[in-house]
Amino acid sequence: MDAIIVDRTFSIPKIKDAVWMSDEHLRTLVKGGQTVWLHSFRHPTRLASLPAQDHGIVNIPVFTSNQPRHLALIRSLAAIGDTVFAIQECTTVLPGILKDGSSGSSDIMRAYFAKMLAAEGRIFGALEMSAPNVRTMSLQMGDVSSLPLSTLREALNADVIVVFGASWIKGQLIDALIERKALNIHMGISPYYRGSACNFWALYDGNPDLVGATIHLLSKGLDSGDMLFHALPPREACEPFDLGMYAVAAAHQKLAEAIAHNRILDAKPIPQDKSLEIRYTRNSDFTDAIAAEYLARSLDADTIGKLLASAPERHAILR
Amino acid sequence: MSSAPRGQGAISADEMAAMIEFLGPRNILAPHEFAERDAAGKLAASDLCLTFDDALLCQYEVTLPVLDSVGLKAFWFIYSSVFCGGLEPREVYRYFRTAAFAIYATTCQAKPNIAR
Repeated sequence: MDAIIVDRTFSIPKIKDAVWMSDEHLRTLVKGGQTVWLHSFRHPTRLASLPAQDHGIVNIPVFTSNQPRHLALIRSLAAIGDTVFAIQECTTVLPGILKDGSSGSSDIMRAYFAKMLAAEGRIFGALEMSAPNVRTMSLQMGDVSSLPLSTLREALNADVIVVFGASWIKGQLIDALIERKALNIHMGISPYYRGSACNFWALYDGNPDLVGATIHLLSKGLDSGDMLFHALPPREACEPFDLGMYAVAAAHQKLAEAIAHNRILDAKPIPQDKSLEIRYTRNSDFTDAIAAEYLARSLDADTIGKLLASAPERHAILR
Repeated sequence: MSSAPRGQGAISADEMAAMIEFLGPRNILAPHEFAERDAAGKLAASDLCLTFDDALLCQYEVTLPVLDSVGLKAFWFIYSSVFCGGLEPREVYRYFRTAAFAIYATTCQAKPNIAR
């Protein structure tokens, strides 16, 4: 159904805004003397007939980071779960402004990341505190694989485990996560784009239809696990930096819905067909020269819209 | 005026006002009064109150002005997941069904052959 909605050029975030009241509407009701009471947290069609997950009885560990898009995933999972264990590997929240080891701090990187941060702010809002049902463990990026498993004992005793934006997990931890069928959100459409900054490279190559996310079973290789489904942003004219962030939002939403409805493993995991690979990229591929060339093209929403309209059929996308 | 497409079973502000008029605004209890009577075991079979479920924006846009015009208060029973980043698919699908196929339905009414 979600795929049909997107195919009909409807935007689920926009539908959400059109369907439900906002915080401000609730405040207006209360100020006006109306009585606002809570009848439930979630509202599936038939509360009594759905599994425990739909009642919010589920623990969800998430191995992630600390940028607004990562916090947004934590919020989405907290909205459907009982407790979220957020194991956050942290980086600067001012990439390109403060040196963080991967993006450098050149003028061109500052310009690039300023645009990315602005888009992230538009889609996910500013940094904010976590929900009350989130328990956190804060680490430096790269630390998580070196922790003794006993440190993560509580988090590993869980119903479903999510990885999004963490470092490349190795050692005992990757074995433990694979055994528990942990899910990875790969920001990129596998098997077409694998590695780092895939959605950037899809835009760089003129393939905005391959901007999206892959939810797959975690594996030892980078983004190489069997795929469960893809999540795509609305197929409509859109500023390129916004498109990438809408892809993140689509991934959060589709994953949260699948967890909430206990549908995660409904689909048979599909091995990745490496013959379809367009690019496999590393952090070191994203250089000042590449970023400068990309920014100089000044891709706009109209161009994105035209490229989307003329994109070929991609048979490996799992809707 | 609601910005939402009008779905199956939806009523307009005028229809809402007519229902309240039919019931009689004075016969409709304020929420606190209804709750107090309930807590005291004194609710009569004829006692009425208005309730609006699910925090839907159309309720706010269509109903609240009607309530305000006659000075009525109501219960608004919300679910809170949508206020902390969650999404309830059934309402999304309901909206999509209404909005996406409204054009088709209109076309079918105008040209019955298309529906066959």
